[in-house]
Amino acid sequence: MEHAASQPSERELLQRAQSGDHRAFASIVQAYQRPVYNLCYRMLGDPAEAEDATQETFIRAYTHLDRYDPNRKFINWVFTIASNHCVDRLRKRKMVWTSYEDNPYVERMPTADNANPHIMAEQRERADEIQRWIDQLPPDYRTPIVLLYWYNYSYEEIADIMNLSVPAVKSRLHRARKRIAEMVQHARSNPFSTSPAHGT
Amino acid sequence: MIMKDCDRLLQQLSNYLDGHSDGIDLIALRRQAEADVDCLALFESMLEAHALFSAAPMVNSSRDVSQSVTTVLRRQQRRERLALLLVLSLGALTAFIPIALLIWAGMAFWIDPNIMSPMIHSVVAFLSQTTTLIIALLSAIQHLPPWAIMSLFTLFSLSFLLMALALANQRQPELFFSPHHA
Repeated sequence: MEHAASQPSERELLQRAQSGDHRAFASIVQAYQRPVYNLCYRMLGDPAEAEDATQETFIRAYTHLDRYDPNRKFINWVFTIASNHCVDRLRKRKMVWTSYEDNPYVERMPTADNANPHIMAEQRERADEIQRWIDQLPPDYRTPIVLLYWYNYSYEEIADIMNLSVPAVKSRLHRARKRIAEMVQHARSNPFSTSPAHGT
Repeated sequence: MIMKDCDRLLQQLSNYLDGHSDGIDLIALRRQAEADVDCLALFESMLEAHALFSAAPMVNSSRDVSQSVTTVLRRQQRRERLALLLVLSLGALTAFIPIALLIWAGMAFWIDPNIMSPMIHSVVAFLSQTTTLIIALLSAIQHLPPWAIMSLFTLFSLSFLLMALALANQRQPELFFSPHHA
């Protein structure tokens, strides 16, 4: 209990970071790097680019710390920066096709089934498939899908992060889901085809 | 079933999957979708995708981003400090040159208007031009506030005016101040 009490709160760390304390900001980065990396990876589909985007997100957050509204959840503010940055990156590049399989950086969640190579291969295949579907979504549809499925965010929270209205979030989620459903349908009807049903 | 109806049905399913069931009955929805084979296929695919996405784990990077962020921030801070030092030095120099120039030229002119020899004129012109260049550079990188640029510009104008007066006095002393008038 004493150890927990001596740990500075997020607010304290942010205040220290605002006055130029890099160590305090490093503690914040450590706490949030995983969810931010996951968002970037899901959005970009490339581990190396996701790492760069994560780093850039935190540097931008530090540079604009004075603009952060303390009434807002800090991670949501960082997600806004990350999402905008990833959308910018996606718009800049024409077409990037990466395989989750070839990804040496990604550590998958350890599961009890990891010992079984068949189950592991199946899990990888499924993860690869999911990422491929996300990669085929337009940039603006990726953020709500990732925030909903990996962070269990509500419509209101997604709207806050994406600076959109709740109906707009609902509409994007529905369109994204419909597109994914079409891709699933295409994949199931052509099991040997790896070509996308929809291009970005 | 027309496409619009299927889309409405899928929208309801989407709301249901987000936890906004509001009286939506999944079995009844599915039954409605069964009226159209394509709609049913999309309905099933949406459910399957939802199940797959819900079970997908978070991925993690092996790189410690906090370390690289700290390194980049330190480097950035060092660069900013150097830039600030450079700008301050240039700013001090830029402010000092016209003031010293003006005092020097003014004193020389009032002591003896004929003292402004062509050599002094050349030196003054060279210094003024150099300083103008520095100011242009500083203002270009937006480190000087507008009021500072305006003040320096006024000082330059005054020193140029003084130079012009000195030159004119050299050529036609009878029009200006001269020891004879005094």
